[in-house]
Amino acid sequence: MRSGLLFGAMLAAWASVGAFARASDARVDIRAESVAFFPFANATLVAARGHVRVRVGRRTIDANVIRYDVTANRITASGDVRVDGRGDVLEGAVYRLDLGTERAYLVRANPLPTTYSLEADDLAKATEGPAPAGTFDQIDLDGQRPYIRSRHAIVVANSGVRMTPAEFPTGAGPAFVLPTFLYTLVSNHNIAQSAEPYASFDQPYNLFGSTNSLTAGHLRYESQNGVTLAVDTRLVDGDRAYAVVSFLPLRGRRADLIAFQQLRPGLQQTFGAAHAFSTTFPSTSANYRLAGTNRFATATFAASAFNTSNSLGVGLSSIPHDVGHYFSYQLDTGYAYEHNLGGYPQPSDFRRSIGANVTLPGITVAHANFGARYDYNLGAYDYPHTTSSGTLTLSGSRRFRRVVDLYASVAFSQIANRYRNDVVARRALFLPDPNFPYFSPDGTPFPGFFAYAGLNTYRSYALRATFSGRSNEDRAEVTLTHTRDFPQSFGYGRPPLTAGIDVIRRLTPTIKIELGRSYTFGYGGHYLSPQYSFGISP
Amino acid sequence: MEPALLVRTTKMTEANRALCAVVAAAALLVAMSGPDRNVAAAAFPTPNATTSGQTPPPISATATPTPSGTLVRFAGQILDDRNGYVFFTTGDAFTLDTNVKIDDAGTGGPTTLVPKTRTYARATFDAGSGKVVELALSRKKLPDEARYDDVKKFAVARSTSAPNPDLIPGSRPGFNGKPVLVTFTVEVPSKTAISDAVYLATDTSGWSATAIRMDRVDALRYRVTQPFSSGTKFLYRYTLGSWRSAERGQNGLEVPPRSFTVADADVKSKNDVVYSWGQSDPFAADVGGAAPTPFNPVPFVLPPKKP
Repeated sequence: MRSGLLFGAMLAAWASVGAFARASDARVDIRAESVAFFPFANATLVAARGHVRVRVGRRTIDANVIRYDVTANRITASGDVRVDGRGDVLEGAVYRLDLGTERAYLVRANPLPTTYSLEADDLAKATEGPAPAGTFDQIDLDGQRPYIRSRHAIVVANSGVRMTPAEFPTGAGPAFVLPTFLYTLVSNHNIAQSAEPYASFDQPYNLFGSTNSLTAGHLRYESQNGVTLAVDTRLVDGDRAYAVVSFLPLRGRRADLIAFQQLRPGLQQTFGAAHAFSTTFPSTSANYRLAGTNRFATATFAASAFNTSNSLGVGLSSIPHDVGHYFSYQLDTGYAYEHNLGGYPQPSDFRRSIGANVTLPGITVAHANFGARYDYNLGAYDYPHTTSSGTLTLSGSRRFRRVVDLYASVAFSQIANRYRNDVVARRALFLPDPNFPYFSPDGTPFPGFFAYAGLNTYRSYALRATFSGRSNEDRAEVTLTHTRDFPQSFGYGRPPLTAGIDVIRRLTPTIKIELGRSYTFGYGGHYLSPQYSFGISP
Repeated sequence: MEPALLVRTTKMTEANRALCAVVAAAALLVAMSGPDRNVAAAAFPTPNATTSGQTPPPISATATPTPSGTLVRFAGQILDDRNGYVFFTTGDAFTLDTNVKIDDAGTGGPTTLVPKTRTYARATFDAGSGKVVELALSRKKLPDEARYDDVKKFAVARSTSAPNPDLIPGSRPGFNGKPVLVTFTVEVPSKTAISDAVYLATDTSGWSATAIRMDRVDALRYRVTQPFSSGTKFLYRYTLGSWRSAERGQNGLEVPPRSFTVADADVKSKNDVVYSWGQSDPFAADVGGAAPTPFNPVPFVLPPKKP
């Protein structure tokens, strides 16, 4: 636990130092009786009114009303405006400042209404003349509900907006209040990358940020560990690179790292590592992947390790190719070395594989849409063992009424395991004699040699019905899945029957709730195994 | 920039020059007399004193003045009122008549609104004097009654009439900012599982991987319709609910986000194709295709043989 806390503290300290080093560059401090934050689709806006005081570097702006267009990085102050600290003291009715260029427009009311254009608030060099039309336009916010209300905001352009305190109007009653909240303004999509394992519910809470980093805490719910916490830090460098470090300090304690770099167009490398601090089964894993592509194919070099097992391999796969409007296909091949220290039947092996898939375009028959795909893969190992798998997936969907959609799919998969020389296999691999099979820990006889001699068959039948409400966003989905596998793995394979329901409902203009519940029947010795998922989105 | 206005600011009468010189000298003396760096009027270029000498009217006056000419009504949004002038967001200041009437735009009766920032107003000009004789206030935007060109001649400080809408949300040059319903339809890889939900993640939603959930419309397609203002330009990606499973390119590699600009229209549609998804498990084997199964002993360690 101590090492975990130390790791988390170092992470937070490192991130905060980076954040404030950047934040001191262009920090806009806004205090007022009311400060509202509006993250519009194409203009992020901070609106303040009532004894507003803005500090930007050495400049202080006092006014009745402030509009700060964060996207354009412009401040418009109006009503009893006084500007001090940067150059000369300015007073007027309206003042607009472009923070990027330090160019400002001032409308003075005394002795006569006059518009001036200034550089760095330098009156000596100011020029009189009309401002461009729309310079002082005030965005109409009447009837608009802000995302956050506060009395103090610190804005760092392209980095983030911190509101203290942060009051989230819900539109459905009392507002939700937090002591402080950081809204990131980083537009790079990689800032949303995540290294944590999957969770049914994950609510991030941003702690620190800069123009290229973000540190956040997470309140999570995982079906295996229950409610737990996580902290992560993300670093981005445009589209070229990112790195994410995450740490779960409590239940399911583990640390994860993922990193990505685009070396040049068409050449990328990724790295991932994880360590689980489990007392029963601690594990350390890592993987590396280098991939290069052209318009015909993608070549891959990959290496991975899991505790004492590791592997190296190269692969080549074609770009999906359309044959007219009839079908598309893709080919792939690979060569790999696998090593499992102390493994059985032998610690090292080489694997060669070749595969293909064919996809038919969707067709419409009697108002129903159908699709089909076939995947085939053949793998051969150095010791006399060959596997092949073929999967056929058929799907169809139909809308019966505007509110009811049905979707069905059937998948057949067959995996063949064959030993090219049964006698050699039995001797060299110490495979179980059919008369004396292995037994699983729960006493179930392991299929052993019989399974490898023939075909394993996996069948899936799935049916989903979607019921849509009047609103495009309100709907319920019911999903039924049935699987029939041979040989059945008695709790270690796929559950034979699963039923799930998802309900999506928009409660308010700012809150949409998603509730999910699913049951698996006859799985792992349990007749009924419910699972829940829960999510809130804006 | 309107040439006529430039000429106007440079052509000053001799009387105005003299007046401004006196004002500038006085202000300079005040500025130099103490350490207090208050507003140094003398340091400004000489103002354009087209209405010099007038006495600012009391803003609270409510008597209806007698018009001396034709009435012209102009609607806009107010920034401030000071010293007998009302300032509009066009950047213009108009002179208030000494007996200006301030009332409610809807009822025509008394109002509790004050002509400050965020308030809309319909200003009635006496075309003869060029002053505002009535200011009707409203919380809501008022319909235009006169063109800006009809009243700009009354402005004390004037702006150009060239549009500059870059500060208005939902409006970019060349777009009118009207709400547009945009339908995104995406064709997904055929091996997308039936239980998978497809989401649209955008930069305008903080790149949440589950920002906008899409509906499955058939075996291979998902769809969602969202309202946007025309002119909105945003980036987006398709995901299966996490960034690890976000869409990949046709070659299986990571791709930059897609871009979309909402054009002026009642409805728009955008059709995309996702060729592959990222691995939700970064440690899954990704070379070759013969993934181990419970019935494939590699690389699993078999249980001990029962004696």
